[in-house]
Amino acid sequence: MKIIIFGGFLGSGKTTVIGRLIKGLVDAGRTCAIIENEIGEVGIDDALLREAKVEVTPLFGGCVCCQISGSLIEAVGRIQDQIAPDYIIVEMTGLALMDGIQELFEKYGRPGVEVRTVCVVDMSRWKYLVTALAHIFDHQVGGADVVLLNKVDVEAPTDRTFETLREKAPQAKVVVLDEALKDPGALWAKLAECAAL
Amino acid sequence: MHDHHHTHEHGPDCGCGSGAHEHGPDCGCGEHAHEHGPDCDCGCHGHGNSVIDDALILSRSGTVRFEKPLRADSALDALVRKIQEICEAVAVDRVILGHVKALIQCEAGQAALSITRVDAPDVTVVGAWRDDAAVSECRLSLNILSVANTGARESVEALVAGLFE
Repeated sequence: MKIIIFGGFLGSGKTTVIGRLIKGLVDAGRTCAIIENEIGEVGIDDALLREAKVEVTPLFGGCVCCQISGSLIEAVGRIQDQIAPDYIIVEMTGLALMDGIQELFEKYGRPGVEVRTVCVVDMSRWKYLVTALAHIFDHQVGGADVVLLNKVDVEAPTDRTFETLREKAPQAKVVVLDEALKDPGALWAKLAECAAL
Repeated sequence: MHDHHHTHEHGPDCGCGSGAHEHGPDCGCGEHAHEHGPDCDCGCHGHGNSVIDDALILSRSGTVRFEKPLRADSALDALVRKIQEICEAVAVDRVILGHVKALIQCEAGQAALSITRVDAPDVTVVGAWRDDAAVSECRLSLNILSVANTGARESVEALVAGLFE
């Protein structure tokens, strides 16, 4: 079993990307379950993801990167025992820091489970991400195996974008979510290639 | 048998084995660190995300009533406009450094709303939606999260309260 953890700032498009990815996974004959972490007391994204007809476990009451990280480890263990899917997809809150999440699973997760981290970046708010939101942005892309550049139709990445990402996330593979990758099968194939899934 | 008497001060490091102190995570002897865990709250793990503590986070669910029944598409438009007004209160240059999300449930079906730029609300229909259904009220779930203009909490709360009246 592998765990794919999605992070990225609020409103970057994580839920939409995950929705497409699930379709790609299911079409490819893979099984998956979702853990959905939201900060607000009202669950909205889980209503959207339930449309995909896969098991969705909501985690409320805090952020899995810090406040309720123990609940995340427990939820993963429970899904592993009860459903044993090929993949567990975790959607972190948009304020979650990603750079400690691998370590969390290394320390407290079960042995043999591989974890990959994906950060979705909203290009339409790029200038805010790298200035006013730099603190959280650095901790998000800095902990990602793969960075997905989203909303590129609003603002296309430039050479400077890739240069900045090489500085802030030298470990990450950068993927531009262009029109072709809106296809669920293509998205799954690309992520599988980039994150060795 | 020779009765050996200690004269040293017993303590965690004395090693004589006779004066074992009460071990515990807080005893400070350093020999038996407690079992660290992500939720152990010892403060040693570097967990704690101040961004969350400082953010404006507001959630509300309830019923929104319309003065007169509206077609579902008009009701949705009216609701989006009202939520855009709330977005203005936290936006910077009409961009939200955060996210405003809503789930709208009514006779027509379910629709989700996502706003990161005030001028570009993104409405996604969840399942089936009938534009021509007559809607007199709807169930609205609203999440507002912002890391900017957090001082606007009171005015945002007032606007949100007005939405549900």
